[in-house]
Amino acid sequence: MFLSKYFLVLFLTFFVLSITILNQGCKKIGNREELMVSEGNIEEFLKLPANSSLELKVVLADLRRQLSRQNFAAQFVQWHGQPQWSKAIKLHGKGGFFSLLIPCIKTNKVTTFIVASQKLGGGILFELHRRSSLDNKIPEYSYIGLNPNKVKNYFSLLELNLQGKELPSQSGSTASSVNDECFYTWWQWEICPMTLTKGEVDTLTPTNNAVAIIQYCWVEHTYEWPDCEPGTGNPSGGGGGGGCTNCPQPPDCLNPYWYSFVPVEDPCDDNPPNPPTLTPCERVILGCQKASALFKASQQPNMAARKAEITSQFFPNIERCFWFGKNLSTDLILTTTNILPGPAGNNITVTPYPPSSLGQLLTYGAAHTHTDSGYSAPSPGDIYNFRWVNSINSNFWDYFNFSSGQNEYAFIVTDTVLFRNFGLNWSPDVYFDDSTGDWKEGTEIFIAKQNAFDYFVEVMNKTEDEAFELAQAFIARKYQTGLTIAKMDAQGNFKPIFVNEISDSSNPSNKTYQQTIICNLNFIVIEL
Amino acid sequence: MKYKITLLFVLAVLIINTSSLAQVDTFAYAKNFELQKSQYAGLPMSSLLSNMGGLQFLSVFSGINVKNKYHIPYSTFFFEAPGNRFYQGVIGVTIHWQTPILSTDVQYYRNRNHAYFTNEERQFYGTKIIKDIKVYRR
Repeated sequence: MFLSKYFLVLFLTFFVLSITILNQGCKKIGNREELMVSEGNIEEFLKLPANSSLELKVVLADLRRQLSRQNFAAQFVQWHGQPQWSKAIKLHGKGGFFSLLIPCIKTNKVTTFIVASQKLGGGILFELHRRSSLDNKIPEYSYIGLNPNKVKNYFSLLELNLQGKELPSQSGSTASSVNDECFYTWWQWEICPMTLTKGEVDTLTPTNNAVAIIQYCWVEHTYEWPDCEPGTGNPSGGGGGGGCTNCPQPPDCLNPYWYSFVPVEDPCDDNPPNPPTLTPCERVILGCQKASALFKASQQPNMAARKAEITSQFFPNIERCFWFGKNLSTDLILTTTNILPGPAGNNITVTPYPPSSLGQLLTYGAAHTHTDSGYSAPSPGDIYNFRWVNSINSNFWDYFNFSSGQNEYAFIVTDTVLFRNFGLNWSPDVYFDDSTGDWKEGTEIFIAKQNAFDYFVEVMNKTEDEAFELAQAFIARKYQTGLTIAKMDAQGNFKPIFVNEISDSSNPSNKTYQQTIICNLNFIVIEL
Repeated sequence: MKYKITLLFVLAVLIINTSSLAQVDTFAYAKNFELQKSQYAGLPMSSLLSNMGGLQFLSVFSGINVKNKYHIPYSTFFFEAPGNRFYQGVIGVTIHWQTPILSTDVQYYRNRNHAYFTNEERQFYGTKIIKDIKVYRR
């Protein structure tokens, strides 16, 4: 009896201790009750100084979009504190356009920093690094490619930066390897130093240097941490810029970026909820925004200039092409090749990379012309051509064609799996006729296209060009190409083209076709 | 009452069968021209039109050449009025031309007769030389 009582007390003590240890080992900032807060003011949360960098604006635009779907601003502030957008520092990581480290403060301390990284294709990826993880010795991972060994040091750097303690900018350290954990190299958005040459000024900064106004630039800083012990993540150590070759592999996760970023989740949570994924209709909206931005002179001057050049003249029977991309993966302003004419016969084949004679480029896409004798809209050959170039160059996601009369089109990839499988499901050997550039006569796709084309010409009184455009848009969806055709409007914005096939309710075998502004890709009505 | 229901059922079956048979017959009828295409290749379309029996074309739709929209490489003829051409399964006779037809010529007749195969179309297409004949269900 005494023994059993003793055993019960011992067991309860052990149980309570275990719970306490578990809680200590996985200490969270706040608790579930604290999460029950009202929605935050998104604009207040995202408030930026007027002179902020374009990179920060791009990041916040993406965040604003996400917050409009799920407003986690208040929860975020409660968990992690208010992000100090103006204190963001920039790293030039491998493979992406840029990475920003944005500190979040709570009770005057940097509790967390956000890493926002623009990747190939333009999307922004986010991840969080928490001081609580470091304090609780939870392993640091980075899906974006930050060296996890340097996270602790970035906290120190951001803390010093926030306190206004200026770390000396050093020369001669920039050659240090990004894996060298004793060196930091980063950029801060500051008033341009007088000594800065134009080449040193970030390409996105105001360029009118002659005007005596205050200009802001990304100013490079380097710092060698004293008494550094490389490879340990020692707080007295330092860090450079990008990823590392021997970093620990992050665990598998459906969407690791969201897993790391959504504020109601935490490394202590075992089962993160499934991350939200973009619907095809959302991808269309984003894809059109991105395609439009590519030709805005204010954002991509080289692209806008080359488009103006190629569309200034359309040669009879000869299509022309230029490729675009980056010279360095860190470039923000895209570079274009010169314009290359194709063979006679409206028969250009866009290749995955520009010919070597035009120079080497980290190629993201191409734009070609259609002549006046061809149809304006993307042809079946264009669909297969795009699929082919993407299969060889996995960075190639932007495919445009321009015709006279300001008929300018983009393919928007709305489903990468469907896009990649299209050529397998509907092989060009069977469904494409290279001699005519059309779907192969007599095939299912050919008949579907011809039915839609005839309907738009004969019933809807469209011109043949308009009918071809609508028929191709219809085929792109019906045969699950994973693509949506978008057309540029007078304001320079690409708008998607959607066509529905409607069965007559009194006689389902009678088909009619209707253009709509309602996105019909995921059967969720989204007005665009 | 029972007899009435049976009678109605038999009538319905007969109507469905007749309609199917009509489709089968139209398809076989059109297919026959495809089978005999070598006989028509190189000849004006009027030779084919003159060999057609009671079942005549009622509408015509132009084909397209993606690489040259000014040239019509083929035309598709239907035994249905233009308004009924969009029913699933209708039979079309596609005739490829020895020399592509100018799209402006086709547009003239389209604007005039709205895809109906009238005597004007009969005369216009009748002079065009046949290169090939193909029959499809739409």
